[in-house]
Amino acid sequence: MLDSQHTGSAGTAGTIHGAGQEAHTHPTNTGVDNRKFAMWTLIASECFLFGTLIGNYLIHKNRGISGPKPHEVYQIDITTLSTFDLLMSSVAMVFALYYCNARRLRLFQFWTGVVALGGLIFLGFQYIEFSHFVLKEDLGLTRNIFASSFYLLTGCHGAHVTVGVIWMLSILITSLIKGDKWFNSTMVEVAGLYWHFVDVVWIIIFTVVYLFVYV
Amino acid sequence: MSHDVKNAKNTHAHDEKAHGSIKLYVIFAVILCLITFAEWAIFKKRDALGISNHMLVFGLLLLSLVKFVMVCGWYMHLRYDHKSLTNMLIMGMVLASATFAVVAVVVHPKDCSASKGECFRLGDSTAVPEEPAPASP
Amino acid sequence: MSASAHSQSYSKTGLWSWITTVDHKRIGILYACSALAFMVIAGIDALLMRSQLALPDNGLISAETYNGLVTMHGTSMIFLFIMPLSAGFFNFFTPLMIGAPDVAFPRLNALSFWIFLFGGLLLNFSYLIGQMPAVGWFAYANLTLRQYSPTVSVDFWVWGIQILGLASLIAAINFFTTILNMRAPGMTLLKMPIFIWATLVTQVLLILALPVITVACVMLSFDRAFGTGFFDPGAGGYVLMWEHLFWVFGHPEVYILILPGMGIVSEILATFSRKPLFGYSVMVYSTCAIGFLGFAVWAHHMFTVGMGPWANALFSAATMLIAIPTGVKIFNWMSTLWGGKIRFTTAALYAISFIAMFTFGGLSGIMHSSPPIDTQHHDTYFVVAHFHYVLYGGAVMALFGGIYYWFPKVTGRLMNETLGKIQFWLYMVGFNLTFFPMHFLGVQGMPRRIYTYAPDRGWNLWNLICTMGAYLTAIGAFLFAVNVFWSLFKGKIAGNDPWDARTLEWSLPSPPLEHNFDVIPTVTHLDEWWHRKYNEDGTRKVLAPAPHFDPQTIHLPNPSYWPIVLAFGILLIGTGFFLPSFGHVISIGTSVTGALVVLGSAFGWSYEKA
Repeated sequence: MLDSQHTGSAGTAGTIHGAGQEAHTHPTNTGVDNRKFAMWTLIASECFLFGTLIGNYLIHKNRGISGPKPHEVYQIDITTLSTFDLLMSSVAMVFALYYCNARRLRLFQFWTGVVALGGLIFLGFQYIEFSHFVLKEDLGLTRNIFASSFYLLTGCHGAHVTVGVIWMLSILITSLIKGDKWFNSTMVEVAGLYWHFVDVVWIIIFTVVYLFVYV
Repeated sequence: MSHDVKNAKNTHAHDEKAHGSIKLYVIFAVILCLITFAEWAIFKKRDALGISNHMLVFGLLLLSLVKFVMVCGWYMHLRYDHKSLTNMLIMGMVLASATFAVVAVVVHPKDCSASKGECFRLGDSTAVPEEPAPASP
Repeated sequence: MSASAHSQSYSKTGLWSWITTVDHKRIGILYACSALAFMVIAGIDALLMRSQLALPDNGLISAETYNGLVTMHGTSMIFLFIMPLSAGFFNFFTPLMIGAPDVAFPRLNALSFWIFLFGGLLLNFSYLIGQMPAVGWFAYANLTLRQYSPTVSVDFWVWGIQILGLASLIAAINFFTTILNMRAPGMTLLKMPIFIWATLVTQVLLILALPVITVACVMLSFDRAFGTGFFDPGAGGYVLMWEHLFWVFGHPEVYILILPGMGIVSEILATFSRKPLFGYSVMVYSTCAIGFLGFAVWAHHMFTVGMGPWANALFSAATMLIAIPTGVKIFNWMSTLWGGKIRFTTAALYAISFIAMFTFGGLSGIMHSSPPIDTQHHDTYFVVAHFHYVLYGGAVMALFGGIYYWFPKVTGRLMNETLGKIQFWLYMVGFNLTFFPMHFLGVQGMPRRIYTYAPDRGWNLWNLICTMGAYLTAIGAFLFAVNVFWSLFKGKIAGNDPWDARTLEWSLPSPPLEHNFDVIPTVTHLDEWWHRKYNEDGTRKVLAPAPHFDPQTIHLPNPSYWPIVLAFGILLIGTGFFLPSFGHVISIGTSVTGALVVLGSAFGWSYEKA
């Protein structure tokens, strides 16, 4: 009951994607909470967003007139590590929701923090990768069409991770302030869906962009 | 689409079954790591393993599909949720992949993929090769 | 009843109450009023263009201005008139027709309206500084690159579309969730009014198609702002990539425009023939089929770019397929009228004319689905005639019908039927005078988007007639405005159910109370309200007494100013991209400020008690 009295908690994404609705939500037709339903709708939409970006990348990746080609710059080892990191943050997300449901405050906060940390580490990897490309490989945004489409795709994914990190930190801070009064399972679940989807997108990017580099 | 009692219950806080167990999650995490490792290993050893390009694409896509299904089905607990949510994801994925597969095929001129590096400077003139010019009246 | 309802429903007055409103009915009114205001601007664009083309070698407006008018007319009519006017109907009537107290996310609903309004104002700001985008509503690359459009004009288009797209996406997610999750008990999917089905499919199209134009606009703005080469063949990019991305969005967009109109017409025809809609479930399936096939036909806009015979053949076949569900709908509308006790009210006239005009446009559409014929018609006035028949004769006529039909529900007063019928005939005659001769002009070879023509081409007469028709339509539009204002104050009091209609919104007072339903209805039939009024044999039932209503059960969402603040932040983010000429500090500073406003208001929003 407690969680239904405090509805709002999320950061940017949470709001845009429909946080904080009226507390007295009556039963819905599907039995699924409206916020969760809306998040899945957004995910369907995001399929097209990333579909466009990935399609765009695949069409352009070998059309760079000058400058490095994909297989000359990708560092699969580091990318594998960052893939691993994002997968593990997804696992942490599952734990966070589990302990939120179980009303275990400290464990919930710990795992939410781990999720945010995982996201930050991923962004760190991305920073290392981008700066390596720009500084060592002379592959800036406008160097060639491959670079442009690559940065557009991974940059968009990175922006999604950033929103997710802000969201997770907002949940963590709200929980730290409100303590035992705030176990907003639905909110955490919706944030989790977003986070997992960002992870799923990376699973596809890792294979289609990085591992298919010679194809 | 009537009110589904079983699904409504899933949103309740302490429903163990709806959200799996820690043990299951850990097992899945290990499997996900193993698959990622396998992808990396296959990529690194593709020459030693003597895998053809087609097999490589097929195998890696299959592995990432397995990861995709695991995360969506269990971590995002689609398996336990109302099926309309699964339908939404499938609708988005299928329509998007189909659309951009067609875009890629239609946009990509054949001669360009055959001779990488040659056609880049030609710009878009490669897109109109074999069409006969419309007959003038 | 109505008078007391009026005082209760809109007792909270004043500008602030409208700015902070989260009531879906008020947001619907806001959408409709803004859409009609933008229509006036876009209509003036059209009149200017037609005045220029009335005579050969005319020097009324310059070529550059003409290009700007073409672009702004198309962009505004689509994104600032038809879409938001449809959104107005979605907003006002979706919860009423499905028996819900409100939409799923009332504050998001307000947010999408404010984002839409700011986006529309941003786009229209280009008039004020004389920088109208002059690239067509489809903004084909590479005319849009900095090299060929060096001023900020194209940025207005890109950022206008980007912001309007965001507004539509948020609204679409909201309505999709509302329809699938908040229907009254007993209202299964196949007991939903057909307008709700049209709304639902429209939202699906929006949800799936909008991200594509978003990415395309990001690519274009990267090309313009940072010098990437996505659409620059010299850098390895594809000019055609823009066309593909645009039409992958753009063709579903066409159905986004027409499907709500089809839904409205279906409701009106059933009401005024006093018959159930013929073949309801077939109508539902054909709506879904149109929506699905809408994703598979984008390249029929590109038959002349040289995709090759296979692609042309496949897209041609897919396009012809769409004629099947569309034809099914046309026959179902006619069968709905067949044998009905038709009342020729203004709304009914609009709906009936929709069938005829839409069929005209549909037939010329099928002609275009054949690549050889399309190659002949491409970029001629024949195409202009075609899409005005479907979008104006189709979508706009249906929306006007919808206004006449639902005006009494929104305001409590009926619109003046005499003025309405005069307006209808002015529209009907004016529209056909304007656009039917364009078929001839097109076949005679007059290209689209030319700002003038030589007197010896044989186009003079038809062009003059087109222009006369356009002015006739303008008189009609003026009469419409007169009618609205007259009816607002002097119109006949409508009562709950002036048309003896079929769907749930007519069971409520006009205008409805702020909380919509005293007690959420339980639905047992398609056309629930009709079945509450009439027995199967057509005799009147005694209405069941209203169930006990406990005012304590009503919970209204609190008004909120965060939506407008957040929307303003999004406007600021976009505005930053217009300011590089004032220095990078101001430009980036504005965008960053906007992002901070968005973030801050998101937190304010989240911690606010809804």
